[in-house]
Amino acid sequence: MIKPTDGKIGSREFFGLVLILILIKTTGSTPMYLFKLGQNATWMMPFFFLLVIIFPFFLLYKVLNGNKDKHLIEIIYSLLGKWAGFLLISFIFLYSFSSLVLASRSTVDIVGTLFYPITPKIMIYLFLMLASFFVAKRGLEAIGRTTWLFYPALNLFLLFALVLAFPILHVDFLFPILGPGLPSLITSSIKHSATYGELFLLAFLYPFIRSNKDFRNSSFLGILFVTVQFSVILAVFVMAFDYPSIKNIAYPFQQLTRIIEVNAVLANYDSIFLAVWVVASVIRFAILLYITTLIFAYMIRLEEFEPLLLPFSGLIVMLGIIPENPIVVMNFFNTVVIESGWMIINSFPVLLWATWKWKERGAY
Amino acid sequence: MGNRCEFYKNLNENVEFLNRVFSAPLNTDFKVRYVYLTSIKCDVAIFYLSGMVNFESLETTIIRPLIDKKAVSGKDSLSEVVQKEVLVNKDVRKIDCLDDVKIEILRGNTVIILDKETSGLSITTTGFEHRGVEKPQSENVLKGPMESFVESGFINRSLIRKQIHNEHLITESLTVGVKKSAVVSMMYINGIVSQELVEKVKERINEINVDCLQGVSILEQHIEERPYSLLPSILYTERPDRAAAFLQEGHIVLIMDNSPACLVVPVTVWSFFHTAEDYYQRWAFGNFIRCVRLLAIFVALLVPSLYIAITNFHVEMIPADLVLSIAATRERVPFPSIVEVIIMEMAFELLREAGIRIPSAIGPTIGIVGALILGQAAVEANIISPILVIVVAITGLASFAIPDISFSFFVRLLRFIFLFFGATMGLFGIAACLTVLIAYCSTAKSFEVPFFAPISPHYRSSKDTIIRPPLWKMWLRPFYVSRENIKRKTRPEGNSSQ
Repeated sequence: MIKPTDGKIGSREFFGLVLILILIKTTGSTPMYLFKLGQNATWMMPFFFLLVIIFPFFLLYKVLNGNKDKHLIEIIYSLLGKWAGFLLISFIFLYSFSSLVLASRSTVDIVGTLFYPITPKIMIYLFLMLASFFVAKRGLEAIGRTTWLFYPALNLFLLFALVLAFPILHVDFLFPILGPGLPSLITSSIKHSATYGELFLLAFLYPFIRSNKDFRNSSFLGILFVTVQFSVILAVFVMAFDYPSIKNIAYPFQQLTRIIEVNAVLANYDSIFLAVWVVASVIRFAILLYITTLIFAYMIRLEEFEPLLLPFSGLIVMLGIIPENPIVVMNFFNTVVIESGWMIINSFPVLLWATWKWKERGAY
Repeated sequence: MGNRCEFYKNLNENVEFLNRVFSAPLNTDFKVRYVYLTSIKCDVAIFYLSGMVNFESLETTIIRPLIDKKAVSGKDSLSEVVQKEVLVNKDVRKIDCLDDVKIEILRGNTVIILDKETSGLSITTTGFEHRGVEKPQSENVLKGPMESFVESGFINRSLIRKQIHNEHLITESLTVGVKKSAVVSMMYINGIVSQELVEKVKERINEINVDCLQGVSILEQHIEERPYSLLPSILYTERPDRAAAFLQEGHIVLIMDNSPACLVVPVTVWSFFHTAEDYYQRWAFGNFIRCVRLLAIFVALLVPSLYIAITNFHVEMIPADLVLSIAATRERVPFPSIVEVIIMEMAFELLREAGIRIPSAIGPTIGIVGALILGQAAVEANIISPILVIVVAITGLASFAIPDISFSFFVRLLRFIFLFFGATMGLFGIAACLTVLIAYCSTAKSFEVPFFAPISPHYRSSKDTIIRPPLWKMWLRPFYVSRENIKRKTRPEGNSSQ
């Protein structure tokens, strides 16, 4: 029997998506903001993020599992009604869309400032979004399969970077082990738990995942892997650069790839990491574009959302190019989107679950 | 010429009709011979196209028995008597339609029509000239069988049957096109192949609407999906052992006359990159050559663009001494490096095309022209820099290491696209382009089978993809092909060292 392709993705593809979508944040400006709060204990923050989001995510999973034949937006509409549902979805859409615009702009900034100083930003932006659009246009299957094909290579390069960084690491930079102190660490972790917000966005793909088991295993295992890797990467950053200076390094990952070397001759391989990172970024923006367009289209109750991918890509470039400099983008993203996003992503699953249970009880 | 199905009662009218169909006096190859059958006292006309039949077989197995037979005992119709008692040592088929006579004659069979009979008999006497079985031209191996297909469908099928002794190996003959003169033999192993796939291939072949189909390479273009895409979706192989191996995994093999190769459907990217030798060599050696070939694909695809990207955008990557020496050699070259690369790549493609078309007697000249003029003289004339000769040479070498010709073209053409992105956006462009390419390929399908199966989408499989496990561990058939008889054998216990 030939399995006709059903447009769905399996557990491996979804697992890869969870990892790429969240781990890639370590390569942007997110670590700098986290280091400002967590100081040299920042490497613990991912575990706190995990603790914060795992409960709402579990509730969300319960809701999804209980309404298997519907996608999340339908569920929201049917549980919360037309107006409240619309309000909630538009908040989620705003979160997703703004993080897409800002993150893509941030990527363009990194590429532009560090690697292509004389290329116009708009060219890089167009190029990046065009590539993401093409990948997204091929459908979720293409995104998932591409993710899984590149996943081993991406991990290998990450490992390679961390191993090569070994000679410059100082374990004593990790101390004092609790950094600013546990209470302050926990509060700032809660406030920045939207760092894991993409996991909730991926839940919108629930109907496109082959089985409930695939979704459950990949998302929970994925977030566990993410937490460990995220933490290791942050620890490597602090061990490489030390605390007070790391909070002034805008792009620690690129900085790290710039200083690692095999020996004096085989040095300066940051461009290779650039290439690998661009692959991951294209996948990241493809899936974000896909989800954002999906949320928007279902929000206004369109059946087909694929024709909207191109206008959305164009819109993202147009909006993303507006901020004057990277600092504005970084600040806006890390203070406004992340620090207000955590409320949305952590509260809406609870709200949905409560309404669902309440309605269910009312039905009997 | 008119179409007519029913036979005329009178033999002469039948002869006249066929003469008209084949423009007889004009067409000297169309032969009609008359024989009088003493045994049943009846006139017989024998039709064939000279050049398509084996004369010796015609004489000894048709004409001689017809004349020599003295008496018959049967009481059936005359045609059946002749079929059962006279022409006993040949494959004889009764024809009831006059139009079919035409088709049978065109296929190289001999048709006999008896007087006062409204049916004819077709006797297999096809005797085309063809080469003997020779060594493969493009899929050579060091270890393993050296036979390759020839331009005869009959011999090709026998070469496959020689490898597979299986009662379920089925050959279906499908006629193609309006005139039904071309025959495609579809071979598969019943019970292993998926029936849906068989139906799908049949459907595609039936949809072909042409007058004549010259061979499998033309057939390939008729049945493939994505005719405008660079990505091939059908495997063309000239090795019977490979065809047999594919059959045993549940693929379908298509064979035609006039083609020294067969088509295999469906295929995945791995089939384009595997060779027969990977399996004949021992585990480690087979995997080693596979890795070399995988490297070759990436080298052929990316090296020129990487050279451009690194020298133009990421100079810091090259060790300082090397940068200085490259810069020194480029000092007197007036062109930007992208122009140099394009000049050299075009020259190499020219050389390659000329090498195929050149008459073999002056073949060695191409080596001299290529090596001396392109390699040395161009460098000395300061048209290109020496490092570029290395780049282009290694790319060319790598592209020859890609075993499949379609896939090789795919890589060769994509190289120019990568060159464009490498020249405009450096490594960023190459990486973005590569991602898009992989995304495109991952959704491409060959007869519903995803191009990167079984890795992505992941299926349980024998893991015979980039590297292969030892042969005794490959006990699963590919899932994407068949759900029937998934296992080749039971799971091996322990290991092979016992």
